[in-house]
Amino acid sequence: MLEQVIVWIIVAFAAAYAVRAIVRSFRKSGDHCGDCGLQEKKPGPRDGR
Amino acid sequence: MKEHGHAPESMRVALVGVPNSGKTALFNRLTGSRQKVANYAGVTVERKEGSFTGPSGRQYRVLDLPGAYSLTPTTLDEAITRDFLLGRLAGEAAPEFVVCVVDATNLRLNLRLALELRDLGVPIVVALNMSDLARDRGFRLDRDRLERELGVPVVETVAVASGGHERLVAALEAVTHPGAAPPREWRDPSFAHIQHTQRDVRRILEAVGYTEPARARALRRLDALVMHPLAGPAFLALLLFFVFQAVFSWATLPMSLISSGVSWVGAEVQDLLPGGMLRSLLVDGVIAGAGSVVVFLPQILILFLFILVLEDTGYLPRAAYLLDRLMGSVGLSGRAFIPLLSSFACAVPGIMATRTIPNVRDRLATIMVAPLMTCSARLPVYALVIAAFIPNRPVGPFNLQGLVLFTLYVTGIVAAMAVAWGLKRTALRSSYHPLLLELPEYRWPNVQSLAIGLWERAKVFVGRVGTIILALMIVLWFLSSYPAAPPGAPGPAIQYSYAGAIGRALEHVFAPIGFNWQISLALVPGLAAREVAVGALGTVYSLSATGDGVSATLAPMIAGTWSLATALSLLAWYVFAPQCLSTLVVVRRETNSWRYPLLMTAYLFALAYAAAFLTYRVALALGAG
Repeated sequence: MLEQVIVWIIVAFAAAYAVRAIVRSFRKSGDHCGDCGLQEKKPGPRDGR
Repeated sequence: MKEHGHAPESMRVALVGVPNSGKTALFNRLTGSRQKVANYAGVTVERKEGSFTGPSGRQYRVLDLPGAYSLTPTTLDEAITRDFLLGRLAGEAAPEFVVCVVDATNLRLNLRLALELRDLGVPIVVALNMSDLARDRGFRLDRDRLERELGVPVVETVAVASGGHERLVAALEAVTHPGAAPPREWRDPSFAHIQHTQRDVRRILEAVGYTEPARARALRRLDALVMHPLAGPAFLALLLFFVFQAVFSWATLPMSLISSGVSWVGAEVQDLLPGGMLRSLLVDGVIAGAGSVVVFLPQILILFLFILVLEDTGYLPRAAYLLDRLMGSVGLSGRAFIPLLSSFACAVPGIMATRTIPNVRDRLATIMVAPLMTCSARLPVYALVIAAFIPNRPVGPFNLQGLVLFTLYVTGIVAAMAVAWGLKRTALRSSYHPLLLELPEYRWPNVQSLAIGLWERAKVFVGRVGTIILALMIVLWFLSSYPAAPPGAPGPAIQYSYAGAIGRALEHVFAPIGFNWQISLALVPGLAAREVAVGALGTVYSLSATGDGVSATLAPMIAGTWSLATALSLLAWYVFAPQCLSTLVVVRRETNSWRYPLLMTAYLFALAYAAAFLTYRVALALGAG
């Protein structure tokens, strides 16, 4: 019984997390991919000048 | 120039210079925090204005104009700069004085703009910026002679050093207020005139004794080879070939270590826990699912190591130059190279990087083809199928597996070029814009920045495995385990589960291209993130395995279950596979319309299906069934 409860909690948590991640990908803003974290490359002044 | 009578009047000064000449640093040095940042009317080009007071009490209103290589514009930035100087910009009076900022370490490129400004008749002073760096690196020139050759004051500046602007301020203080700028005319020069200006640049450089250090001369010779019309592309092809070979051959040992580690953890958990749902969740869902993805970390890091090294050494812009002709032949702008290259990591930053493409149709065409570049999330899928079906044997000096991977990447590039060609000849027709880009110096890659880059990439990948991929694997495990099989049912329980039902429903759509229900099912979570498809196959096959033991690794399992035709069909599918959700969302955001993401999904799905169908049928006909 306890095992069943633990499994159900883990599954419910994972499902909520997955749904949240997908919903957030529709809402997120900014210059980066919320999933992979890679950022847009912006050209910078050479040698910091 | 006449001596100024020190009247405390105000003067409007514009800073003009090629990109990276240190113009903005000089602007900051002159004006400090007294700046206003806005946009030029009607465009999203930044307008920066600041002010300072000279020792005489004269007020200077300084404008930092967008970078320009010449007064013949090829970008919106350059057009703004030219129009501002001519007083053609709405709501902006022409500047009374111009400071032409030139990079002393790159006079060959910078002098043309100075000559054009002089010929325009604007009162100017030339700021020889980065003069400290030029001296340190061994560049030599006679400043007085340069002043005489140009016929305008030339002062040395070091924008990044305290007091590095003082000579410029002194030069500004010394000039008589030129009064309101008269109307000026500019006609785009003919080719012959541009050649004449270039000859003038070379003559002046010779006259002022501008000598480059030996290292710069040697690197110029290296450039002549690397960017040679024939040797250049051949070198690039060889380089890419080597990269894909290394992705397979260098990763073998670390991958087998990680794989053994995952199997060991699975076996330990299997022994530790009593049989039941929790053990199945951990072994079949978490370890088999997420573990089958994490195995590909070494290959992803090797690929990124090469990308980072090529970027750090300054080779990538040279590759952009080499590929400009190819890009132009299909109608894409040379500026599309960097966004498309970024898309090899992930299409999302690639699509965002298209903001640097000024022409809206060129930008849309680049966005539409960016997903055809093989993003790193596809690498685990390719690597899994190749390792399972393509023999690890040499073909001449190469390895067959690396050769197949190289072919898949090239197929993506060729497909992108073909789609761009079609788009640019139909819906997104526009004229060709030449590529103008400044090549950075070659330099040795910095080991510390390479290590940081790889560490960041590893964190991102492992972070994904530990979050979204893990969550989806647990959900998939649940769908694959419930409802339980009826008592006495033959075959594994997954066949009777929700996932089994979904897989079988989808199988009707994908059977013509050789996909079984397990593959069809794995494609669904793969829409959230592509590499999830590998984890999904790991979970599904782990649960499909008969017996109670921990399943063997995924590759040998699919090798024993799929035909070669199916494997090749899956590879073809993933070359074109419809995008992950993040990409579609970013396309929606960047184009401000659902039209383009929907079009993209439709055309990629159609291409993927057609390519997989063709591959499967041809492979079957050749006896690979």
